[in-house]
Order: sequence, then C-alpha cells, then structure tokens
Amino acid sequence: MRLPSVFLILLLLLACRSLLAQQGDSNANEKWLFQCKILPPAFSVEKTLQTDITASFTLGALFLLSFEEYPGTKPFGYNIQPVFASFEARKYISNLEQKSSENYPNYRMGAYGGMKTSAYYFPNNDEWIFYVGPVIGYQLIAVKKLLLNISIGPGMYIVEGDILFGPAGSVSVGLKLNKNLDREFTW
Amino acid sequence: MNHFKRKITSRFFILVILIFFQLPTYGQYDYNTHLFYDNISYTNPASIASLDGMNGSFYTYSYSGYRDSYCRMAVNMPLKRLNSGIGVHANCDPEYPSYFDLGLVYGHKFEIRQNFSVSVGTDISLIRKEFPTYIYNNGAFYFTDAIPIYLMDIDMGIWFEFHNIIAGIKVKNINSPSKENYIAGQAYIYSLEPYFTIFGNYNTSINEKHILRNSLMIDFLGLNANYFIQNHLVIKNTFIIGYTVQFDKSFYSLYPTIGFSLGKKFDFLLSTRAITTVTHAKIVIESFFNYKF
Repeated sequence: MRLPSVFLILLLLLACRSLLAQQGDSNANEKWLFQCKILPPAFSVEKTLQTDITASFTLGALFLLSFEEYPGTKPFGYNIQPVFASFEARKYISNLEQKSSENYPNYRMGAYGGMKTSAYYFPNNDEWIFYVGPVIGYQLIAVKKLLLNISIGPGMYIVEGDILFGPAGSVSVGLKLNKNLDREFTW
Repeated sequence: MNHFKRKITSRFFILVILIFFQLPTYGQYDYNTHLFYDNISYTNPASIASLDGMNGSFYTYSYSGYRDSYCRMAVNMPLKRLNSGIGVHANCDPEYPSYFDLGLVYGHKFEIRQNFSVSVGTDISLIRKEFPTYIYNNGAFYFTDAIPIYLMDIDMGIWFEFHNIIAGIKVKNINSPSKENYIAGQAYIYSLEPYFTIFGNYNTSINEKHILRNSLMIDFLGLNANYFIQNHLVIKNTFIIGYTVQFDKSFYSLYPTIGFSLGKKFDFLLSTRAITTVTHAKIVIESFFNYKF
C-alpha cells in the first residue's frame, strides 16, 4: 500500500515524540498516553484534559469493512486499507473505570462517550471520505501493555460530495508505549 | 449563579451546534423508524412533558443499494416546574429528491391522580422538500430539475401514564399541508394526509437485574394499518437486546436490536433488518445515540 509522504512524516514525528515521552515518563503527572496500534496499524496519542475528559488523535491505516458497495472497499481485498486520521473527544464514565485507573491512575480507562471525526484517504483511487458523529466506547489495558479499544456510534459521512448517514464502529489492539514507574503491580 | 450561567450557556451552545450541524443538509423523512421507543418525541410529542431530564439524540437510518439514508436529531428539555417540556428536532435526507424539516415540540402534563397523568403536546415543523419534475417525450418520462417546496406541518398528541403503563395517540399532519406548483404548464401537487399513530408500552421487571420492555405501535394509514411490536430485554441497566417485528397485510420484517447504556449518560442502539418478506430487499441499518445532560 502506498502511503502519502505527508502521513508518513506525521507518523514518524509522532513516533519520535512518543519515544521521548517514554524516556521521561517517570513523572507521575505525565498525562499523555501513547500507543502503537497493531491491528489495524496506526499510531495514537491520548491527552487527559480534565479528570474524565480526554482528547485522542489517531493516524494510520485501516481495515475498512464497508456497508455500501463502495468502489475500492471490498472486505479484505487489496484496496480496503485507506489511510486515516481521526480525532476523538471522550468523556469517561467514572464508575466503570475504577478497576483500570487504580493501576494506571494517570490514564483514563473504561467506558466512554464522546464525539469522533475522521478523514479517510484511499490512495488507489484518490478518494476521500469524511466522517463525524457521536460514539460510545470501551478502552482497557488488558494484559501488561496491551490496550484494547472498541467504539461504535451513528454518524454523518461525506463521500464524493454526497452526504450519507449510518453507524460506524472500530475495534483495535494496541501497545502502550509509555514507561510507568507505577507498574510494579502484578496482573 | 456562575455555575448556573455556565450550565445554561453550555446547553444552549450544544443546541446551536446540533442545529447548525443540520443546516447544510436536506433530507428524506422515513416514517418507519423501528426504534420508536427511543425516538420518543417523534413517537408522540406529548411525551416530552414526562421526560426525566434533558437529552440530545442522533438517529440514522441507512438503506443499502441506493445510498439512501437519513438522520434525525432532537434535543428535549423537560420543564418540571411548569409540568411541561420543550424540544427541537430536525430530520434530513440529502439524496435527490431531498427532504429537510426543523420542528419545535411542546407538551404539557396534567397530574390527575398520584399514579395517573395525561399529557397533551404539539409538534410544529417547517418542511423543505424537493419535488422532482419531469417531461414526457416519445412515450417515456424524463426527470428534470427538482423544485423546492416549503410546508408547515402540525402534529398533535395525547399521552397517558398509569403506574408503569404508557399509552399515546398521535395525529400526524393534522393540518393536511399541501402545495401546488406549475412548471411549464404541468401541475405538481405535494400533500401530506393526516393519519393516526397509537403507541403503548409496559415494562416488566423479571428480577433486580432484568427488565423486559414491551412496546407496540400502530400506524393507521387510510385503510391500511402498519404494526410494530417490540420487546427489549434490559440487563443490569447496561445491555439491551431485543427485536422489533413490523407487519401489515402484505409483508413482515424482523429487526434484531442490541444496545448499551453507559453510566446513565450515554445510550447507543443498533438495529438491522434480518428477515423480511419484501422482495429484492436491501440491508437496513438503524443506529441511535442519546446523551442525557
């Protein structure tokens, strides 16, 4: 898959930033959560703004399962991996996050609701899809540094100038890049 | 006081954003929403007076194959001190011929006895619909430009609550909005005929963790009646699983539904048509998001 150079540069910049943060992450007040998403391949950073509110930015490729028979989106075909960038504002539900946040007090975990906006680029046919809509989701540190995230919500798409409405969901498996001093706990 | 001001300002801001979000789009209104229990202000405008708290919702209906989809947005706010409720909603389908409406809802509740109340409500909407025009040539119709039509539509509703039984009657298009246009000597008439909708709901508590939500809706469209039967099992106030059956004389369809309710703040429901007797039917997916302020 051909990655546009601008995405590649941004991805590298973010990766460098995360590695630097990883070195200096002994600070207990560090509130940036970096993760390298393995499935689908992407890079994500999440910043805690208030106690339960975070902002998350993700950049990478995507395995897109399309509801519409849109050209170039055949499930698991050659052309299904667009490059995408998405931004999420999340409000975590406190009563469900306690289990995770006891172990990682600086990172919000558990169930959340919020707004998501994404831009998808299909390099093979030079097409863009834009998406915006509310989401609910669940993010969890499953084992050691393995992060699981699932989210779904209804939204609005802009495809080739047409406006469409429909649900969108995502499932991802990521690796937490931050280094924690408070990780002596055992699972 | 500052806290109150901040709260009011933020709610107003969200309201403006939601309306602004709607403005660039024009949509097609489909009356067959199968998540009618959750789209409660659509089901009956009088129900708005009985809401527990302010909420904002976003609903989408997608029909595969023709890129046909529409959405509904609503913000509802109960006014407890006045025994009333107000709301604003918008429906849109941007596909040709497009449809868009923007409506205001008001409902008032009369407490008759301790466990018995009657509410009345009205929904006044401004509709903008594109009407396709055509020319007839060599035995065939050719569609040309669409002309926009503006209509004022009024719905009325009555809502009864007796213990945990709810029932409502709505009259849709009570003012019979109609518009006639002449393009190149050809008359185009667009009219919305009145029809009734009956809604009923009864919640059964199976045990402390399981509640069964039973709902019924009937649309009386002229001589034809369209039935919707819905059963949703709510588990631990978090997970929702159930189905809706829609049928009339000629067809039936089954819509399984799953949903989540997170922290009594966020609700999400996903429904899809699994079985139908409609020939050449495409996929239908509905999704519903609700935020309680």
